[in-house]
Amino acid sequence: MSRFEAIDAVGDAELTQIYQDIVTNGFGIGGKPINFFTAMALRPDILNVVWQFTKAIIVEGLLPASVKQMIALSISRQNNCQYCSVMHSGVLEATGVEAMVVESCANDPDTINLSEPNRSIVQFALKAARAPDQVNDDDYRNLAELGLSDEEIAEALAIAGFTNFINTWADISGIHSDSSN
Amino acid sequence: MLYLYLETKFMDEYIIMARLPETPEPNELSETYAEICSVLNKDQPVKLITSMSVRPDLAKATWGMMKNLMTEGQLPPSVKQLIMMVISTQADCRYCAFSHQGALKSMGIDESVIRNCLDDPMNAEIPELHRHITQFAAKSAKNPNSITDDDLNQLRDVGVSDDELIEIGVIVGFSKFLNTWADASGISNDIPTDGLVQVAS
Repeated sequence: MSRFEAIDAVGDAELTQIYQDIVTNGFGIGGKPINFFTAMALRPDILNVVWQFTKAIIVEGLLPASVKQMIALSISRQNNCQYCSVMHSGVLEATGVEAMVVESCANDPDTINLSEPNRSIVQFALKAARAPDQVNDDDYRNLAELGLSDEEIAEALAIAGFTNFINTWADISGIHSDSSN
Repeated sequence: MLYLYLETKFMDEYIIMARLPETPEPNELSETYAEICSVLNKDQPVKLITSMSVRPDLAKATWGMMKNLMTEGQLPPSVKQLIMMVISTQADCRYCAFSHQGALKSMGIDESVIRNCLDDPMNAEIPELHRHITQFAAKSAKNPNSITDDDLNQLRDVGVSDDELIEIGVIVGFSKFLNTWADASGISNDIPTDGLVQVAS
């Protein structure tokens, strides 16, 4: 459910292929992509690039899936995006982390209960998403001292920007939680 | 504060440093860089992408979004640049504001139009259709969770199709990705402030 027509991929070869790839990579419920994607399926060209973008940032990459999800959940909560908060708390839980980790990302802006280096990574991403012009050289140095590579720092930053992107689309498109379909 | 960049210098004339090291060329992105120069009609690839070169995979995916959303699609490229300019200036993202203002000028958009988008909250001097689009973009970028069905219906009432609305919504979101990257990566820091005029607070 969203503010846009829900599109069935049946009979559309291009859309069927994109839908399948989305579902195969774990972004489906009941055999269909989550509402985040179906809400933009009136525009297969846009759906396709958004999916490729999502895949590069969230599915692939160097940071562990749990850390990516900690970032996405913390930022979605601070941005007050309900759809993404519900989604990412479920996915983070499914990565097998302790309940305390989910709780900390969801409800504590300082995420004090996360262990290092995860806490610093999440705090860096939160600052980048919420006040990007405040990020400074020391923030980068701090992560490097904790052993993060430039490649990993770039990924944390990309996830921060990506979460701002998905929060905005979720709210504009008015998508409902996938369990309410 | 909202700023207008009156200088007509091109981005290429400034030395912009990112916080992450750039991979020297030729590199895995050489083909992508060539495509960027050709599609955007530039002598050098944009800093937003080269500042990601430690991660060619992310740079390529980001360029894929830029190419589709900014140069293809259904809305005129100038309207998309207007949306991104309004959002970036509102967010005080110097790199993106400078880039999109520059892109609009190179498309022949009169400076008075750019100025009106910034100094008049009602954007009264731009055509009604575009005004509705820029107002929606500004609101949804700043407070996405304040958007209601009425906001979308107002755009539908002035003739915006749902195909176009989706394009607008995704561009608004992607602008926020670009603003986040540009500021946090450090590339906004080197955008000059000479010629910068405050047009509204």
